[in-house]
Amino acid sequence: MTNILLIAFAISLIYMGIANRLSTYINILAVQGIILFGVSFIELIQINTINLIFILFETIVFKTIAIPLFLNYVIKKNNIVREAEPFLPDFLSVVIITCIILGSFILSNIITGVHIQKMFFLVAISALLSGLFIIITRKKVVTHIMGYLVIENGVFILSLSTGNKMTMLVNTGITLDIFVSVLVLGVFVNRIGNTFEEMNVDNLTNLKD
Amino acid sequence: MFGYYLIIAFFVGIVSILNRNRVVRILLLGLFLAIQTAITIYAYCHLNESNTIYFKFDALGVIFMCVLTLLSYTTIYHSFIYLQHRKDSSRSQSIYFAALIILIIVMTCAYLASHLGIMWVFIELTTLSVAVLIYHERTPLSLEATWKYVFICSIGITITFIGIILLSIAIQETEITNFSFKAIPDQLLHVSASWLKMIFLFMIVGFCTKMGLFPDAHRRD
Repeated sequence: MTNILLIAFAISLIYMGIANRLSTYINILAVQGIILFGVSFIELIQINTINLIFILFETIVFKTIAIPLFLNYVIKKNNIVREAEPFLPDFLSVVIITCIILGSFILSNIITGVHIQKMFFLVAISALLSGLFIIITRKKVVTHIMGYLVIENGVFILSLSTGNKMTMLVNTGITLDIFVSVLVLGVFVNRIGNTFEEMNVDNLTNLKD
Repeated sequence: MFGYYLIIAFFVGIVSILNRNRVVRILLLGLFLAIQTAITIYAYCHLNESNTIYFKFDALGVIFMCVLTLLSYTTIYHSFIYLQHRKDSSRSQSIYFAALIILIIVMTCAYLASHLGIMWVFIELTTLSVAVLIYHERTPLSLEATWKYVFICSIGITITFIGIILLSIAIQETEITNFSFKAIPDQLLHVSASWLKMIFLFMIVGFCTKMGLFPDAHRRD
């Protein structure tokens, strides 16, 4: 069951490559939140209740409900055009993301000597790399945040694979990351929207020495 | 002792956010510099003693701490004159100095941390306080600089976090998982070299991105 969910997550990454509208990106992020909820529910069922509630709260309330609503609010408030405006054609994006997944598949099969669940490792690395890919190939500032959130989801999956031991570390890390990503970046996106006409990276090239 | 330092210094930082009076501000900054100097001297006198569970006055950390303390004198003096010259409002001056004080505290903690996770948390906190300092001028250019800084540093620190998680997977097989710098090498004896190389790669890329060595976060062209 976990494997099916993780494969669904990888497919959602490919779908992100061809997605055209910003609302589709937001929906994909929400779906990824639900998938993460499923994975953590299956994997962490035996740890203590408080940690479990914390992690489930984080996946459902933050990743599935709060962040998509917040991004929707940002897009509506700043009148952002609904197209994602990638630098590359969609077809090429899909090919590159598929190559990323293939590469992390090979990498996870090369590694020996450590007891790690390969499926988690594979999906986490491919989420990291496709998040970076989405950041560098999309024009809008909001899509940068979305790429960052995909990376966050990858980190979450990787931390699930460590199992039950390092929960304190994992919780602090994920909480801080969410704090930074949503609060700080969100605040600055709104500021950028107020200052510049369009929220493109083209506007952010004035800084010189 | 270090715990008292943290409590008092953070208290000074919080009070200086609320404070609007110029004289009180000078007093608070003086108090903070006194505390910072005191903890540096204390650390130098108690070299290589672990103070609390997560902090240790190791030699390298104390060297950097001395440099930081010296720099904090000049930085605070210079900022004071600069803000007077710019004729900023009292409120924005308070926010600026509070962020500066918190940045110095957090950097001290990051130097002295003897636990990998704690060090990571404090390095992450530096990003937040520096963002406030960069955005002080509230112009489009400073907004652009802040956006680039926050974004690139968050990604760098996330990549480092992946490295830390991989390290935790590596040392998971030993009985006690301990993340203090002293205990990590013993636990890595039976971990394969290729896995360690990958951890190293993630950590160095992440920390270098945070420092601004790799991409053009602090670019010059």
